[in-house]
Amino acid sequence: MLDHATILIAEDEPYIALALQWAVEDAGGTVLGPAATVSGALASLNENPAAAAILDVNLADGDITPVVERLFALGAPIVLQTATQLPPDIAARFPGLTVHIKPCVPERLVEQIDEMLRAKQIISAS
Amino acid sequence: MSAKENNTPGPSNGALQEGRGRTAAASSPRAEPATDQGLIVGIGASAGGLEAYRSFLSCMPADSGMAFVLVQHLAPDHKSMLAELLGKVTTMKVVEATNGMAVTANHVFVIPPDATMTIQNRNLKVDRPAPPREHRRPIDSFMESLARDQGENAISIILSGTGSDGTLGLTAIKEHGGFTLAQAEFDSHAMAGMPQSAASTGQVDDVLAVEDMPARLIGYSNHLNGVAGSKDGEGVRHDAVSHLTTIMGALRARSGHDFSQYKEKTLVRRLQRRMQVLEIETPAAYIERFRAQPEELDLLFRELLIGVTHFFRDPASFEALDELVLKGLVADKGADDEIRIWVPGCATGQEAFTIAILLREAMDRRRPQPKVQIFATDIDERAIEIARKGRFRGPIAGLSSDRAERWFTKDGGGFCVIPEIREMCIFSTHSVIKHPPFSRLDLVSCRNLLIYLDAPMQDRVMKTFHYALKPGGSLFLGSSESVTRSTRLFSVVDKKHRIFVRRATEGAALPDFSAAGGEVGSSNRDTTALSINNQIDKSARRLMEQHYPPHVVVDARHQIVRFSGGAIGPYLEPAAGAPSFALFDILRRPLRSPVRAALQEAQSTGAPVRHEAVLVRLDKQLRRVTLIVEPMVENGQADYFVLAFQDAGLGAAPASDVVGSHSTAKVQALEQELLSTRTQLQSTIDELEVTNEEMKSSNEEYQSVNEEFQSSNEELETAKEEMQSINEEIQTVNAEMTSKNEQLSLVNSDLKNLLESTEVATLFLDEHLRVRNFTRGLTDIFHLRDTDVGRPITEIVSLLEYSELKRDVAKVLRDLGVIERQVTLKDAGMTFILRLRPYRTIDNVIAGVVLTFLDITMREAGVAALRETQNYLRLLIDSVADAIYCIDTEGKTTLCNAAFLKMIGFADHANVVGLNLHDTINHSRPDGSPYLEDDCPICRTAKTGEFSHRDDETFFRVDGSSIPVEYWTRPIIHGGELKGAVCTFVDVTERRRADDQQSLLLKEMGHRVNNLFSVVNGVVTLSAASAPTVKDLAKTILGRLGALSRAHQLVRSNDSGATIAKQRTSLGELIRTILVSHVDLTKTGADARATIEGPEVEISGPSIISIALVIHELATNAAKYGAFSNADGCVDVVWLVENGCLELTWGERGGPAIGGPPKSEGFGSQLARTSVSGQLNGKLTFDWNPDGLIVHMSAAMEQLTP
Repeated sequence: MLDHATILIAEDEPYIALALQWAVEDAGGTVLGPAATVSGALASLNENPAAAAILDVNLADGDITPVVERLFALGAPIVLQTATQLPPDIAARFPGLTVHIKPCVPERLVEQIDEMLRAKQIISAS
Repeated sequence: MSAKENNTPGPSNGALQEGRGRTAAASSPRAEPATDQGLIVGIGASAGGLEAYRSFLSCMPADSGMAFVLVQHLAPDHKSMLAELLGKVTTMKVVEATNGMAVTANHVFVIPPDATMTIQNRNLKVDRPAPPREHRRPIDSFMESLARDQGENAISIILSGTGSDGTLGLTAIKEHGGFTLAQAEFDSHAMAGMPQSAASTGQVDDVLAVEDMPARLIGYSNHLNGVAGSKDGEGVRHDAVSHLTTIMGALRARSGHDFSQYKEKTLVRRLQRRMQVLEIETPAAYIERFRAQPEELDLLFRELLIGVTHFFRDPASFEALDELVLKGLVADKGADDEIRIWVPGCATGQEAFTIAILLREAMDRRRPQPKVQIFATDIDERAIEIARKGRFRGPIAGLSSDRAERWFTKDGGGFCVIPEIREMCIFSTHSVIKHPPFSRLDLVSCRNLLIYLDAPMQDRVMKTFHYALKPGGSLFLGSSESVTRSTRLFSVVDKKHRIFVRRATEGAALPDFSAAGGEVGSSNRDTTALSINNQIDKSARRLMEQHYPPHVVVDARHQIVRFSGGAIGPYLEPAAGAPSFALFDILRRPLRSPVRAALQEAQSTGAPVRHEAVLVRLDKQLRRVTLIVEPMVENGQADYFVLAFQDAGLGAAPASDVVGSHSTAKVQALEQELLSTRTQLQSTIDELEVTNEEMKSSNEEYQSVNEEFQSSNEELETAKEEMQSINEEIQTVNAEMTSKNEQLSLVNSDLKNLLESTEVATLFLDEHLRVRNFTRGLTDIFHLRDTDVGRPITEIVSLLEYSELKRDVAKVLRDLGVIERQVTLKDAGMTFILRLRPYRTIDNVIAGVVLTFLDITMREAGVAALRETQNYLRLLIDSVADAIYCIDTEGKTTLCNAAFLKMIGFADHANVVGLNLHDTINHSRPDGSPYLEDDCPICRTAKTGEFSHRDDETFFRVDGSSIPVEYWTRPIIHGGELKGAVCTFVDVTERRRADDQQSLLLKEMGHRVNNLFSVVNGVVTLSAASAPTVKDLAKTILGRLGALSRAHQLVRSNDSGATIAKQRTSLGELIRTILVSHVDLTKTGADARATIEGPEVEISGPSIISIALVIHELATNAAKYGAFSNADGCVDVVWLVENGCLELTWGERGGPAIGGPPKSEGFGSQLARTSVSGQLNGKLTFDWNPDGLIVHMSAAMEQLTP
């Protein structure tokens, strides 16, 4: 389904991170990460570009904003998940972000990433 | 006829007389008769007269043909709305008068404010400004001018109002023949003063309700038009003259006064006016009227007496009188002398009072003061009654304010002559013509009376005055009167001011009063009628004179009234001394006896007497004279006698020719005897005549004494009337005194009850400290008994601790101030407020001291209790943790408590109370902007009484720092009045912090719970992927969740309040907590299943979970396949910190042998690795040693405590 696309996962909860990793891998994607921190996620992006990302909003060293900025610059689709809600400043700066409230089913997130990637391909192809 | 008096007409001077108004109108540029121009109605009312005006105009048709001029008392500085208001009730045009405006019929003219309005030639004249209030009489001013301008064309109406304005004006209108109305007292629109004043003069023709006036005016107007044709050029009705005698006769019968010697025109005018008022067209109808209603004659009588008089009329004349007569009179008299003055025709007394005032002023300048009697008389009883009261409505015309103040007392709206002046005057009803005069007078003041009398009556009155005055007495007449016809009786002292002095002429006998009036009057009429005949008679007489015997005409008293002239000379001879007309004074002596006999005979028989050839010796010749006495009989009585002398030639003895000489001797003897007898007789006759003369003079004396008695009697009657009125006054005063006495008793008993019932002990002392009076309550303080009254208070035993009593009393008496002291009663524990005041009698005399003791024991106790309560409250307020702060309505602090001082940072109450702290304890709104004082909720409460509550504001302390506060304000209301506001506030810093924390915690909890579910989600997802059976799955999941749970529990038990990031524990504790669910950690030594060793390493945050997971997965793996899978295996967990890195080793031993690494990495190890690499950014390595698995984990220390 993902057709080997590289998907960045940023999640500081190991069980969730691992579950996402498996879901991405099961869908044919390649996992970048999982990163438990913002700095880890940024470091991973420096090494490998990601086609899309599944990100937890709050990581141990802060909120995910720098990562979202980077991915926006890359034009990579993003799916966010959070236990509470999106911080208002992120919502303001990046309207239209796809946000899921925890807990969520990893496969559902992956499906959405896939849809977003396809939509992007169609747009770029046309 | 008295009348002078009363008739003084107009304001100018007495001359006036009749018809002036009409004359003036006729001579004005408009030639047409005034009546054709319609009547002018002057209506006066004071400020409140609007209602009356409205009623009047609303009832008045608009086409009456009359013009209306409204004069009202107006405030000078306000625009008058009168014209507008009245314009609404009538269709006539209502205009405010302007100067020069012509008065036209069917219009209403209104006086403007602050102006005096008059009328001249039917044009209004407006003068501004009006005189000052006290001299302002706009109604009088207008009506007097209206009277002069329009005469009988004028109508005066006095409506409601206060005061007496209008009275003089109305009188003037009537005087000039106009018509006068006054508003009835019972009329609902009336304020009684002005109409009453007008009516009291008796000059009002009719008193009516306002609504009835218009109809009356129209009737009057119609009547005037109807009779206009029967008047002559001067407005006198020719048809009235012929009825005058009849009417005057009836009047004389009714009133006892004869007006027939009034000037005819005067009479006709007055009569005419009555007829106009009654709307009677012909004199005959008028006669019918008074025959049917005799009272009409009384009204006519009054009409004839109309009199205007006032004080100091013709001031210059009175000044002359004062200088020329009165001062001299006063100077000449001693204390025992009397000044007697007669004021005939005094009307309402002003002239008499004027003279009294002048005399009193003259006498005030000297001593001794003679007694003064001013007899003031008039025939008008009503006028005399007014004069007796001596009360005149003010302001009094003609009187200077000095005199008004000095000689009058103000009494309501009027002025009363002071008794000193009043007592100088004696008023009585008296006719100068009908009644005998007063006598021995020093002065007769008779002004403007004679002008109404015809000439014969004037002469008669002058004689009366001459008789009444003592030699040298003065006569004071009106400015148009004179004594030209009586210069024999009076000589001029001051011609201009009409002051005369009595000549010492003799023979001016008192006129006969018995038949006065009527007879003279009728002879007057006869004379007039027979004047032509007289002329013939005169001529005939002149021709016949030579044929007459000489004669004289004498009256009953033998006074010669006519001489025949011619040959009378021989019979008469002037006597020595003063000229005399007494027959027997000038008759030649020899004739006296025979003439006396003849006259007496004629008088007694009333028949002619003829004494033939009486022998008399004339001029030494014996002559024969025939005496003829013919009585002149009139009315059956002989008043006059004609005495004629016929000379019958030389006298000779008639018998001498026929008697012989023999008898000559006898005859001679007889003649001799006759001669001596005659001589004797003559001397007897002479004696008799002398006696007669004496008798005559005695008689005259008696007569004058009699007159005096009569005068005295009248005086006595006057005095009696006065006594009666004084008696009534005394009765009234007595009744008043009785009622006052009753009131006083009532007040007394009230006072007594007051003193008894009041608990205030009161003591009255006189100036020597003697007890004057005291109240019951005082006996508690002083041991006083009723018998102690009069004793000095210092002798009375008292429990009072008060030694300064004597000194204080002296001080009060000296300073007349009040002293107040607080004193206590020994032993009784009572406290009093003692006040000492001077005792003032009602006359304001200080007659001692009043001491009042007010028991304030209870009050003192109350004050103490109050003070205690206050202290208690103060303590409570200061103990309260909340700050309390009160302000008054000005914003000034009135109270604050200790908490307030502390919170705001003040040191002491003194820094706060009394100051406006708003700018000091500034506070800001939630958004940080400061409050202005007007917006401040606290200040607003103090000003408006609103409650308010704020919990989101900030107060600034004295040092500038701020505190968040919650506060409440409530108004302070005492006695229903807003006094300020109280503000209580608390510092909410701590609460705010706790609130913040709590909301943070709630947020964290939400986060954690969601996270937890995500983790569970992950655990289930991952475990499901590797569990062969459901049972295994459940076991795996439970194990993992248990590990997570324990890790969390550990974190929570160590630090309950911290956030996740701050949760911390030690590494050893964590490992022990995870392992304890897998093996028994209590075993030690060789049996130990696990050893845990390492330095104290603190871990926190997410790394706790990661490490817990790693340890759990390793322990789970050991339980399945490693050291924990049998009974003896043991795991050694050791760690150390090296170069900032945690190096931890998990070593298993004693478990089943291991055949090498598993074919694929299991879920547990994958999870462990993910945790270490992802969460801790560390490394996890597995060494599948056959003796047991050895796992090595390294991670930077800073990852453990992020």
